Amino acid sequence: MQPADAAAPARPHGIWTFIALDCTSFGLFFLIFMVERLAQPAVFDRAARLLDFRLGLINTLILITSSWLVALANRAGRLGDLRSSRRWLTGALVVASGFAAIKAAEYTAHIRAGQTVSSDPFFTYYYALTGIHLLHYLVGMVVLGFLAVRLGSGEVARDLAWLDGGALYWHMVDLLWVFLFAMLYLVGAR
Amino acid sequence: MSLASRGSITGAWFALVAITVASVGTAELLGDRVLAIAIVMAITAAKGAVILWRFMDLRGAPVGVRYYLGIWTVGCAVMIAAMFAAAGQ
Repeated sequence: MQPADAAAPARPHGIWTFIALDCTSFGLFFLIFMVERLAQPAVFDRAARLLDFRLGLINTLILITSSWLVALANRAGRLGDLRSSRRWLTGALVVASGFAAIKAAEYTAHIRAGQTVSSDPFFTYYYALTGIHLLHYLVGMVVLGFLAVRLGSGEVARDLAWLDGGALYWHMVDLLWVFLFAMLYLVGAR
Repeated sequence: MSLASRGSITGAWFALVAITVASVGTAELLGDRVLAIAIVMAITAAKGAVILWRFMDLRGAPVGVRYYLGIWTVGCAVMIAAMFAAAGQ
């Protein structure tokens, strides 16, 4: 049985600075989207209603669940249980892969329906915002996959630092999606 | 610094799932648009806070980053809600 409140190694400040800067960038993207929407709210709302909020909801639940599994992986790693850590990471990867599959199906359906990057301003921002987020997601998947394979095979302290940084990055991907989901799928379509 | 317990991490996951479903229900069912948007964005800020404090363990961040990410979370939610309301559609 592992202690519930065990001591953890201190985290480097660099990863927090990166997260703060990336969140700032997304905050500016949200602001640009909202300013553009002010000029033509009816156009944006009509297009937003074409999004399927159920797919956005499923993707939100997928990212939340994968984030939970990554948090458990990070906790297990920091407690020295690398085997459990790898198991949680593998689970997170399996769950998180559903996000890309749904996003691909969503993009395909919209493009087939003629809702492309150039069809109207809402979809220009929709593809830009979700596309930049998808790039973050893909980087996160590569990092988690690398960690799931590598954890415990090299220097443990360095692997754990990577695990902690990778976990924080993945939670940030989750955090950013929570805002995108609300802004694009929920309030705009009201 | 200490690690969060497994129970608190799993509790956070349950809370996030519950409030995500609540936010969708609010968006779909509430009649007053401005009120619905305000509630959805308040729930979004709450979800952000749960991710930051329970999953990311923000306690371990430098004090400046801790304050900044807290302000970012609330600031984004307020900005989005206010600008939706300002558009008046």
